[in-house]
Amino acid sequence: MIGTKHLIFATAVSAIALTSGAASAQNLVMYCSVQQSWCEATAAAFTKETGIRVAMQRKDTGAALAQIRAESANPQADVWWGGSGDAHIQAASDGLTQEYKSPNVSELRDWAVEQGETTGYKTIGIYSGVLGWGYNTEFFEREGLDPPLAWSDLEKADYEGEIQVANPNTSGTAYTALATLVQLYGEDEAFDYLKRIDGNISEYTQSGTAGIRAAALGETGIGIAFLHDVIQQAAAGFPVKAVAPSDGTGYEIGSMSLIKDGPNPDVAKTFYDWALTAEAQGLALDAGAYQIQANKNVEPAPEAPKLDETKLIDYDFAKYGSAETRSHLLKRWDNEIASQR
Amino acid sequence: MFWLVVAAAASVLPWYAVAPANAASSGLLLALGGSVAVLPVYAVLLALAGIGVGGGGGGRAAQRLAALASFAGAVWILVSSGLQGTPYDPALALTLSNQPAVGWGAGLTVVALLGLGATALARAGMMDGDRFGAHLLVLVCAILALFVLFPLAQILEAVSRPDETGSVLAGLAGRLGGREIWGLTCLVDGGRCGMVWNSVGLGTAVGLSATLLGLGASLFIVRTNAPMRGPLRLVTLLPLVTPPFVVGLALILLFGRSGSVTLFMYDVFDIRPSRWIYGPQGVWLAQTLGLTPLAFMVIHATLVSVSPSVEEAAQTLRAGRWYTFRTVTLPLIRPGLANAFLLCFIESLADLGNPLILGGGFRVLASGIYFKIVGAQADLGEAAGLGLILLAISLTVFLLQTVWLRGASFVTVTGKGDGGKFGELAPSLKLLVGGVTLIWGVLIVTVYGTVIAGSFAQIWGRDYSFTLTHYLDAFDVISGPHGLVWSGGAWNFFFTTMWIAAVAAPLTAALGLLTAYLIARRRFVGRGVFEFAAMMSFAMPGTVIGLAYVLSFNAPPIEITGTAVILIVAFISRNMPIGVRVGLAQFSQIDPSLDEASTTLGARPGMTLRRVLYPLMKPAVATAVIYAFVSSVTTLSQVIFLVSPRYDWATTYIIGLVENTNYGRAIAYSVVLIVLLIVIVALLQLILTRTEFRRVNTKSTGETQ
Amino acid sequence: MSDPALVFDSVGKSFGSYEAVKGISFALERHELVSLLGPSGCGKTTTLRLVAGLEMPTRGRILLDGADVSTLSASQRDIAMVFQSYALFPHMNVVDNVAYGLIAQRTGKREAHERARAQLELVGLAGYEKRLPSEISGGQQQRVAVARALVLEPAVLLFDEPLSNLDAKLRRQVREDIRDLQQRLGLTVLYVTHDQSEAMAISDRVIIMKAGRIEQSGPPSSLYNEPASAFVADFMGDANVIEATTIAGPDGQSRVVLDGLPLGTELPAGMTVDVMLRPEHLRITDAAREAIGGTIRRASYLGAQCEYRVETSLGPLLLIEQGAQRLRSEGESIAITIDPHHARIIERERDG
Repeated sequence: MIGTKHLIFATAVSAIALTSGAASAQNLVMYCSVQQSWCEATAAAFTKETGIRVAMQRKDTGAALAQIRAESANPQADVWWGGSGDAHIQAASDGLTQEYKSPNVSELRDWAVEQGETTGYKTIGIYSGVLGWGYNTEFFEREGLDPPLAWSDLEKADYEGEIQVANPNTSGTAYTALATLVQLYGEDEAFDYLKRIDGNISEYTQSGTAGIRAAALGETGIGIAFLHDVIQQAAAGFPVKAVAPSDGTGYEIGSMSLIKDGPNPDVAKTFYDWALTAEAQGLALDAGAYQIQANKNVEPAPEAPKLDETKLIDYDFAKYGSAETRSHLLKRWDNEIASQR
Repeated sequence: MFWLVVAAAASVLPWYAVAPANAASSGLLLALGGSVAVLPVYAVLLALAGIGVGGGGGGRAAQRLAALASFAGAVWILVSSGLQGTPYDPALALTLSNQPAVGWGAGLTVVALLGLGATALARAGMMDGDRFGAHLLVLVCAILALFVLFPLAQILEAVSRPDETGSVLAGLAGRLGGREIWGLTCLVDGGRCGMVWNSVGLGTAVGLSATLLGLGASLFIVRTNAPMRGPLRLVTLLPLVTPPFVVGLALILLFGRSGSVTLFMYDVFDIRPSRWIYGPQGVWLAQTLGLTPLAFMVIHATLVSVSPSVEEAAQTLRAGRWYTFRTVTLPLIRPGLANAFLLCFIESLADLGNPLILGGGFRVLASGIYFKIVGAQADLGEAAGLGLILLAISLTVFLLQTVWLRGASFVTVTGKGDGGKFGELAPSLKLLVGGVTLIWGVLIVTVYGTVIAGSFAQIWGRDYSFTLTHYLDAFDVISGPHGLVWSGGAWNFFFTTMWIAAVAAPLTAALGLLTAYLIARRRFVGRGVFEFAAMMSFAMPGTVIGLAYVLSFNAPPIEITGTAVILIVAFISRNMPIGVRVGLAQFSQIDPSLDEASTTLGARPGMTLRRVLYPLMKPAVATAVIYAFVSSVTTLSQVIFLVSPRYDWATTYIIGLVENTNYGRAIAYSVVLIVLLIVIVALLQLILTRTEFRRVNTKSTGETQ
Repeated sequence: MSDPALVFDSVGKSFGSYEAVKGISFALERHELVSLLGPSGCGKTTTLRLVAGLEMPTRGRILLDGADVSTLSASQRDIAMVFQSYALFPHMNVVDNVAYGLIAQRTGKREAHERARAQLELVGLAGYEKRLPSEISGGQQQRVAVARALVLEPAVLLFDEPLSNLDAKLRRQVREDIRDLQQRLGLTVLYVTHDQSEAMAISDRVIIMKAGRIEQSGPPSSLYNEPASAFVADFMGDANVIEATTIAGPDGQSRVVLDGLPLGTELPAGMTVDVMLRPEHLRITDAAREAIGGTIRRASYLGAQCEYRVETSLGPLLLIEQGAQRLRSEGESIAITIDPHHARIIERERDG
């Protein structure tokens, strides 16, 4: 009988051991909301540089925010790297992230620092990206269509069922697009516009980059996306071309935040400081990431969209990042667009 | 005695997972310091030691009381801090409502109390005084209560929380009602239907098609002498070691708008490429291909159990082949067909991967839960509402399956080998069966061919030149100043997946088989309920388990989110029912007088299990371990909410790649996973079933599955 | 005289609301072979399992060698059991099967195997040690099962219908072997069977059970000749049971009259009784006086005897004619006499 008891006992003990041994090793735990390749390149470079192992998980911006919120009682990750700035701002205003002013902030461009200043340095800008779309050149040639160059072009009946854009509920990209249109046209007019182009949209995807990926593969004609994602596809050899809408467009400030009460606060700060250096930011290009980097010493890639040549709106990050505006717009989108399909 | 020693040892260990500020850490010191949470536990322990449970004193009534006190003590430890589900705030004083999660001391004390309770129950006459059985029963019940029933209760709680206006009813209505869930607009004007109808409709369609295909393939293999039956059997098993969404991925590569078949059709027949694969029909196709093997196995088992002599009898009664098939064979295997249908229905309902990558705007309950959680609105309450509905449907089907099919087994195998040969099928039927099976086989081969080819192609659909990039990206190793860096993106997921599944599989199998042992070989009060509870988690869709675990284990008393334990526990409770099922089937094949003989020869339960039952159960052990391992590695729905950066899973990694349309790397990784699983399954099969013997005197009730 | 080897003291066993054994008492003397006999569902197997410790009594006491073992598990009791299916471990060879019990009781492996071999020799299976159970015949399997039980030298050896898996010819041989072994080694045996002839052939004493109760117990001959009830009479061989009523006779002694044939009885007048007549005690006679008339409905020739089913005014009767040269033909009218000494008259059971 004793033998059996030992068996049961050993099982129980090992279960408890597994639980309590979980948080012992000094690693960095990171949520990453940019493209997989850049996430991995950054994690590997940091490990190579410092010897600190990185446990990294890629999550879409919305998903990462939801996860951090769900874990707030018992945070599992140290740092959230990348993803649309409005989500980071929301995390900051919800008290999910930790205030920290890195000594390397001085190396950053103004728009990146501004992101820190508006939140009391609970987040910081690390890259920026311009909203637009990409179209599949082979498809347009084959069908003999003219590419859309402005938001108003997307209404053309030629593009019926050829546009893909993400669902703003799940995708930071799509929410940026929604907010951009509202700022461009005014709220009511923006929703009228969305209703008009609804017939041209084949699918509201979950992931922000799914549309442009589909366009690259020819699964759809046009994918609304950040231009750096379009350029990445073009650079990878796909027949896509980026368009910055001529009637004005919005942009995102990709950000980084330290998670409050994360398991390894010191390691997290080491990463935070390192991630702002020119060396770390320079990794983007090799990984096929064409965002404009925040560090002044990192030259944008020649293919990267030029901020000064694009007609940018004066994007109100504070307003459109706030939970109130956000849930109002999303609810209206659900009611007037999603539920009418 | 043993358990009292364990409790004593536990009393000097840190009671909580986190040492509370301004308070002692060990249970003993906390009790001496007058902690309201700990004192009652030690009062119980002292009382137990006092009435001499350790020595066996007291009558049956006293023992019953002791058992009750032990269990109350264990429950108190877990409940005293956890009812609020609020996190521990170290800034506040340590009070009943502000305690950290259970640590070594408290955990071991719970184990010791459960052990004491089991001992007392045995002494009170449960299971005729068998202490081994009593311990086992208490262990399984504790696991079921903690990791199945408690999480379910948390879902109910999340669903019935009051809404913003404070109204419970409005909260319920918001989470369980709504057009998104129940809408029927698809019937009128080409709108979209609610997720419930989508799920049920898809499940029914998949159940029907998979059952028909499975029936065709079973008939083809059992009842024809066509060549290629051996390879076909192997091919049918492939989807079992494949992450479910890989089939969907291959379908995109084949039938997507720039898929190879689509482009071929465009070039040759000028059929304009379309997006038909995205939507219900694509999900249906992927799930049908993925689930047919399941239907095949169930139907195959039923079909071979039909005694040839009944068909021979029908034919001597002047029935033609078609007539025999229709009036004898088909009715006899009807329970198998129903079973296959229901299983596929449940699996289709639970599948998350295929709706995620092929669904387009078509939402089912499983993917609905996912988007409720990962979406920007992150509403756990609404997710719980969907989870509850999904669970209700699954459980209803499961109940149907257990109650309705229990009495409906027409197995015709008798103890004596009945002899006889299966008759030939009617020619028309043979042709039909062969055709159906052929189409299915070709599809499967194409799907897997695509997967393998795709993993070596530069960019599928554009640039078919050979490359190893995808493998290198995933499994590269570089060296740096601090030693080797496993820089390939897949390593982290790979190691975690393998070791966690390797830990979970034997535990799952052992627990499942031991539970089957209790059900098959022991009599105790509430055995029927126990059996149902043990089998129930089989019907819990993975997304629901994941959701329930997130709700349950993120705060004291048990804080295990973000650890490996939550994954292991989730696998054990989800996959255990298969161990139970396999175990029950095997036990029904083993004459109970074998264990009785062992007992009357003086062997204790431990020896009987080890020397008599284990050797005879080896096929079941192998099946249970292999199933547990494979399904842990290939599951997506179960882990998607439970993974953390530190413990991430292969499938979530792959689905992430798919969502980013990084198909090459996603399938390269899938290929590695599939090949590895095949190797591991073969090895396990070899190790676990080495000894072969011919069975004698074992009852063959011929139970299927 | 020493204590009985086994004592049942008002032992009862219920499964839920079903009472399988209803408080029975009996004792088993040393070196005695006692059979438990009864139809299926009578509680005989449950009784055997209660002895073995495979079931625990819901009430009463079980004494083994004078000690109360009621709450001990099977592995702690000094018994051994031969199962209906033999329950040989299919994955162990013959000698491992026999040595299993010894090893379970911590006998060294070498010694256990030695003793197992000796036991196998005793049952005539020397040379079969390395065979698997599936590689030997049914009769040999049965002997292995006996050897496996015997090697433990149990206080009581239990047999659960050990012959039911053998064919008719082998059955007689094996039951003689068992009886022989029991007498040679002085074993105390409790033997369960539903076969009346098997029980009679093998036992010192037979306990007949019905619906969880002991109906009657005693040596085979007394059960056959003096059954206490119609049930026992019917179960112990064939019997014609005729319902009748006792009447007061002219000499003050009461009697029953069957078709004008008077049979004396000790029972008071005015009772409903069963008259039991063994078929071999009915005689075919030429005289028509003091005889019952009847017509042969079915006639069977069985070699040593002829069996007739006869239609009479008392109802159908079974009649056996021994040593007859020829079979009478069906439809023949005959007269039957009854030997009053062999007629047994008992009060009719109330519950039927």
